[in-house]
Amino acid sequence: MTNILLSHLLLPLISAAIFPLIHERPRLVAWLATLITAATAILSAVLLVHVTANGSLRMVFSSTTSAIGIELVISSFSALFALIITSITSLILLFSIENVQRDVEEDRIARYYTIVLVLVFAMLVLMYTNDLFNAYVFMAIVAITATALVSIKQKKENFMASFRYLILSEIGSLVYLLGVAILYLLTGSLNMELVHQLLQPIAQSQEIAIYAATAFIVIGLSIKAAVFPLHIWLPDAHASAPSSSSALLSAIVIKVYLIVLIKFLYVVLGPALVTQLSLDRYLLFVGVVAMIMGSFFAIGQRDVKRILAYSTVAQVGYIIIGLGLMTPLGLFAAMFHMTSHAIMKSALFLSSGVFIHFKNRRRVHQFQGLGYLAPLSMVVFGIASLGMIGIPLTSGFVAKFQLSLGTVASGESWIVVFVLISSFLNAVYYLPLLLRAYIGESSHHEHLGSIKIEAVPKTMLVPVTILGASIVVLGVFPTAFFDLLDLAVAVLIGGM
Amino acid sequence: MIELLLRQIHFIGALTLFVLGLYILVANSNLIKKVMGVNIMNTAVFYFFVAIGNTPNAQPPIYPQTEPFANPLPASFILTGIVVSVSITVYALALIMNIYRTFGTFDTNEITLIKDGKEPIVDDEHTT
Repeated sequence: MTNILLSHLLLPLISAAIFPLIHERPRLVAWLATLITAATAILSAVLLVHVTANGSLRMVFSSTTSAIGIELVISSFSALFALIITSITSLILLFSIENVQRDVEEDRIARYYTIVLVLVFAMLVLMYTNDLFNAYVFMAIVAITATALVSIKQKKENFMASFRYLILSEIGSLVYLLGVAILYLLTGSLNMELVHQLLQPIAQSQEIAIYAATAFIVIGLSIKAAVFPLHIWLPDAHASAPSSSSALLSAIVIKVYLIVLIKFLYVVLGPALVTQLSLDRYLLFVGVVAMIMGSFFAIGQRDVKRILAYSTVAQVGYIIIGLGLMTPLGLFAAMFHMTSHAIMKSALFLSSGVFIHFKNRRRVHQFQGLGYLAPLSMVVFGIASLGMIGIPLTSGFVAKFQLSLGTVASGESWIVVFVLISSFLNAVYYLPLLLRAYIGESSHHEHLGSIKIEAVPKTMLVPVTILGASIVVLGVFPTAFFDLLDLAVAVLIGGM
Repeated sequence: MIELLLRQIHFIGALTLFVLGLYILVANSNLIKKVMGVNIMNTAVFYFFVAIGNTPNAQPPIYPQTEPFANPLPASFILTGIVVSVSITVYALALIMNIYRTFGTFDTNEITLIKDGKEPIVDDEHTT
């Protein structure tokens, strides 16, 4: 199993080192990147099956003891999210094979995939790592590669957007590292579980220092995960990036930082300490503000990718609320929403990528008649936006339902009102797009009989269709996935 | 009071440096100065980390060793941290180079003015 783990981590890294050598054949590089990410996904599935059957797998690097060395823990939580992340990434990469030339120059395509695979490697390590400082290093790698995915498109607004993204992520990293330094001062260890054990006896006497460390770490991670008042870098970066990069950034990279936040809250601090510091109240408040304000900002936008970017800000709010409940049910809802949002947001970005690629339409008013011009992508776009609103039979509904159950069970039923308001606001900006595409005054109605599937390459349509289908499958038959999530929650609440 | 301050002098120094870096980052509109501000913040955090490893009257941690010896781990963390900081700086400077080529200026205010003179999305503009 150690071999599988190592090959699973090193596969993307080694191929990233090989790609520059074959940069003269961009299509080969693109296909290789897709296949390698898919292989990584299969290996994560193997790991998940193994871990589910035999319990967590641990591995220590650079030392013999976990107190000094860097420990990787493959639990049913980290393996599950590694699987989700790699499989969605491989779908996005499949989409990008034909789409990436639109935004990235021919001689830069090999670099693009090199960056993506380094990003995949860093995200996998961030899933597994059990070390606070190691998390800092790999967050920096994610920050650089994610920013490079924006700036690889050589356009005016991309440079400024990625500069702002880079500087804000670096501030987030530094604030996080300052918090880690305080924790190291208090406990003398950087291993997450060890820090948790060592914090227990001093939880009362050193409360102020723990409070400061927690504040620094949570704020640092909030900048990176675009939690509402700290989201200012997100709309520009996500909207100006190439379509496949936007999908990666909005659906996957944000989730990785949220997973580090989950690890910090549940592994390092533990529910008891979080409640003692009243961090849970803060998270609930921030989450509610984020989901309302994100939707408000989205309403004012005219560009579909900016709408989607602001909608991410709102959806992060839901996840933060789930985390702030500090109950198994809340964590369960947060993790379900993370998965469901990753699928829905990548479906939305990829299908709007089809509209931009096929018809060069990205403004809201240009959606006129798209339901007839690009029927398949528009159906997927429709399913995903209905999922965002929370219509039954989509995964978005299940996520919001679980979240509402969680809030009511913790006696925080006032949040349900805000979840409903936010759903309504989501409808305000998603429904006009759908109505324009299908109903708005249009000359396409008479062609109803002769609708053809849009003439874009199959490699673009297949991932869009798979993502659209999985939204419905996850919405109609969520129980199999519930079992996996239950295991993941049990790992975190019972200590990793 | 003075004694307490002196004992914590490293931590106070590190936090002052951090705030100073943040101020430089926020108060300047010049992109290069912003990067410098981030570098100063980096240094502050590294200083803080190294100060943690300091033990009074300690020997360098080289084997064979008598107690007390300084904690070598923070220094090794910071070596990694410096590498991270250098790579971020290099990338930021490369971006600034590209920004200068496109806009002809390092000043964020001027860049905002240049961008506002046009439509927010320039490349995919096709009104039907």
